[in-house]
Amino acid sequence: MTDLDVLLVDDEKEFVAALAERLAMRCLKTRIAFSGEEALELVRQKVPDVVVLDLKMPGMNGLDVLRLLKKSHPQVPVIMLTAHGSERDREAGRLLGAFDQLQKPVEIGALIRSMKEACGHRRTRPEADNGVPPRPVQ
Amino acid sequence: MEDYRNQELAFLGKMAAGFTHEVKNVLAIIRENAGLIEDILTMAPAEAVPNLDRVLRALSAIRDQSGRGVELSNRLNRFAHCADQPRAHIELNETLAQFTLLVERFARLKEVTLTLHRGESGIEMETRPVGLQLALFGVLECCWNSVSSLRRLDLKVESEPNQGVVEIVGKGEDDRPVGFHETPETVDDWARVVSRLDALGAKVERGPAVDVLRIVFPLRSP
Repeated sequence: MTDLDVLLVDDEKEFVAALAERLAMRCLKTRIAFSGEEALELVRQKVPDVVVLDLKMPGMNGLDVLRLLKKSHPQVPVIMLTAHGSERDREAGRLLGAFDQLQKPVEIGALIRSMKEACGHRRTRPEADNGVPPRPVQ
Repeated sequence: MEDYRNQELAFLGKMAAGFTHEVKNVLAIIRENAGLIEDILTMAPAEAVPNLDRVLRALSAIRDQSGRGVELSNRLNRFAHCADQPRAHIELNETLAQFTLLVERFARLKEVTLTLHRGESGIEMETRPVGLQLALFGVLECCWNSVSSLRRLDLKVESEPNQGVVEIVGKGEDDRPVGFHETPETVDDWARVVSRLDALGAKVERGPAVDVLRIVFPLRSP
């Protein structure tokens, strides 16, 4: 089992629930926040290894959260995940220190690769590399 | 009045772009849940799931079609953002690439294959992006509405001193040239198309061959 701790931040509850379950099947520990405020509270409770952050959310948007996170926890890598980010959003994310910016829907293998690169280690199981969950031992 | 029209257009674009965002979220949820079902089935012992191959094929179709929906949504989103500003700086190849993706469906319904041949990059123009695409679409419509034997339209982007050119080459069955020598002026809408081009400071030229129309745009429209 890996001890990689992923915080998923997205107001689309059904999307983030399915994504969390798929990551869990690949032996990644996930926590979910449905808003920017909730995300900052979860980070305060326990600092994650990586944050996957939606850009467009009601209230505090993804760039606001990124700005605050980078101020309080500059070492935590943040991957922005958005449906339609503009060039201006991408530039803002880059300037604020986002590690990567991916478009929804994202291939799970691509997301895991980005998270592993962000964390700079290879603590997940090899099976997770191609996005395929490990088969249970019969 | 023009300012009000621009505001209307920008409003339409903003609403359309907002909806493409929502549609993409819906597609992401469908795709993620299909992926989850696939994961669960893949992890289960093979004998536990009857007709596993058929179920996986169906899930694969959901994934492919949601991907197609995402691509369509991306195209619509980019097009909707064209209306953000009435005038904007564009690169002609990029605009034509997006335009071709958008209108290929309309060509397909007329049994015409539309292909873009990009020219040298860096044809920067200051123009009305929506107006430019509207005018080009009008020309293409006149082409396929006036020449029933048309099967292929090739769009070629070219750079000339102080102007950007879109060359339209029409072909029929077996790549035979179709004559644009009388058409598309025969189509009722032609006068309206010409006035749209006029508004951009653009003009339509013939040739050099009979199957070629050239739409010439100034680098800075009035």
